[in-house]
Amino acid sequence: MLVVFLRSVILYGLVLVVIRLMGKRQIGELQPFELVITIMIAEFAATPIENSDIPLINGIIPIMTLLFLETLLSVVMLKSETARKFIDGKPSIIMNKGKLNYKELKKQRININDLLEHLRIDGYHNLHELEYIIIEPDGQLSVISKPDYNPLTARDMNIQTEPVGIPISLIIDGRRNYKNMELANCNNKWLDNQLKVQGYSKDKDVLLAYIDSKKNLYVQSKEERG
Amino acid sequence: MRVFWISLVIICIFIIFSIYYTYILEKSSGNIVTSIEDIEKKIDKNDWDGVQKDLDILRNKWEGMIKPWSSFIEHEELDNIQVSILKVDEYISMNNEVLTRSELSVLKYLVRHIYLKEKLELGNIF
Repeated sequence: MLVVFLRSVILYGLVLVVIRLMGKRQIGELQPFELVITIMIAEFAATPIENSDIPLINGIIPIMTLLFLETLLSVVMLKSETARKFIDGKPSIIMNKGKLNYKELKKQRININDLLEHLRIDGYHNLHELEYIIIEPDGQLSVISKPDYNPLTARDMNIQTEPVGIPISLIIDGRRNYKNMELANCNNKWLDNQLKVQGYSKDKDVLLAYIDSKKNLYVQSKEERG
Repeated sequence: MRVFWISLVIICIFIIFSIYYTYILEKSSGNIVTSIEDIEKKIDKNDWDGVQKDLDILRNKWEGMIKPWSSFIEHEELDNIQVSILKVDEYISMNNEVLTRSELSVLKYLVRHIYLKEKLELGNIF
């Protein structure tokens, strides 16, 4: 039993490292070749865990081979659009300038009910408000509305907006992130003062403290506060 | 790109190692098969003391190989060879020529099979 436990730990660690090395593509929306590799990695890792008679190397080599193949395909697709089209496929336009393309719907084997369901889930209730509907290679639907039905933006109203920045976390789970503090141009004294104003004397009481682009500090406590 | 080069290096190491491993496997299994054939020759001469000595040599060779092999070969195959050696030992202790010869043939096949299974051939790939 200890053997199975140790083999599981080793293979889990290996799969974690490999998925991490494959990058954000693997964790996010999967293209077809990435989906294949993810499924196969799971299979290769499971077999030596289930059967202690099979040497661990029989799981390690295929997983490393898949890592190599995935990075190789990614590099090839980076350099060649033809390879990209061949391996990933290309997006399908099923609505063009407000008109549904019946041939393309048939080719993709999508019926109208399915299409309407996906559009409703994405928040598009009326087909006549849409200009383009595209099915991406990973199966996601991309929708472009007609300009008349787009939500108003500040630009449409001629409203001046301020530049936006990303929030920067300064304290996470009671520990200060000094790198982020340097990025946000904040020193310990300033942060201590800000926390004191909000009623926090110790970092370890803070679950999350972040600043916005206007250098306002927002704090979430670990405990329920009145 | 760094990940690509790292994985390429790892794959190259695997390929070089597997070529070396196949060579070592062929050599060690050949060594065991030679010991089996020595036993068969001694049986032909009815030299059962010599057979027992050769079996001890074979067993020592096998004990020396089993540890490194167990990391790369399915344990079931190794267990089958171990069982076969035990059977040969019993048959030799009874001086039973027929059973000893038949079990030695099985043992030879099992040992060769390990190497043949790992060999790079179309039959093994498909």
